Amino acid sequence: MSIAYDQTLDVKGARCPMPLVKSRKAVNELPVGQVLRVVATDRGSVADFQGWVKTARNVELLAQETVNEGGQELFVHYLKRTA
Amino acid sequence: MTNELPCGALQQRTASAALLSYAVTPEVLLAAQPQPEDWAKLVEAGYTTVINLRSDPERSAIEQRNAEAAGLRYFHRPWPAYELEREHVDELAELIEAPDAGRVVFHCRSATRVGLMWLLYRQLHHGWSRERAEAELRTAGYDDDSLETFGFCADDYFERAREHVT
Repeated sequence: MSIAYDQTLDVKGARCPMPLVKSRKAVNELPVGQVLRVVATDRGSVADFQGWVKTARNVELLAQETVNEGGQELFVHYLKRTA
Repeated sequence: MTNELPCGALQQRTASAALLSYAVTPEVLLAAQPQPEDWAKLVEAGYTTVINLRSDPERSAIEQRNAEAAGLRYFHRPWPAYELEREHVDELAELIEAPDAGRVVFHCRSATRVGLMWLLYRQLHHGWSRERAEAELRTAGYDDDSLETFGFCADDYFERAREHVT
């Protein structure tokens, strides 16, 4: 998957709801239109991010992917600040 | 009963594994996702009410049928743990403190979000200090990583609350 992004937030090892809380804070500091790439190890973050963007007013979930890095499963989320 | 697991590791739990749970008081059990066979065990242990914090409505509908079939009262309250507001904690307090609540099982996926809400409940509704609320959770079995999560997310809650006021 090739998605352009402006910043990366590493939340590997963080437990729910920490990945979402950190992502919300990071998105709020992004300029409108920019994309944040979030890298998590929490499998539940996939559904959590999908649920969050249904109610969030200023963020769009562009894509999600699962990648394997050195035997570790990573869950990557691409978030665009829209307002 | 109190072995903490990373969120993702819960997917690996077998059907026969003990329910990951933390008895913060004799009346309230904070728990990870119960399996179908857990409901009868919880009834046997004296619990009467279930509050499910998870968001998935389809999963909740199935869970409600199983829990009610075992004799439990069931409430689905998908409060956004990543962006809690005072009203969510107030609603939790109403459910827990209702005269007919009995002994309550409050669960999410990994027992972390419910721990965070319990910490906020203690601070906001009982006037406890952060240290006292954290000590209760630690005594119940939550580990350092969980406490770090609670602290970070609780700080975020109070920062947002201050912003609403100013």
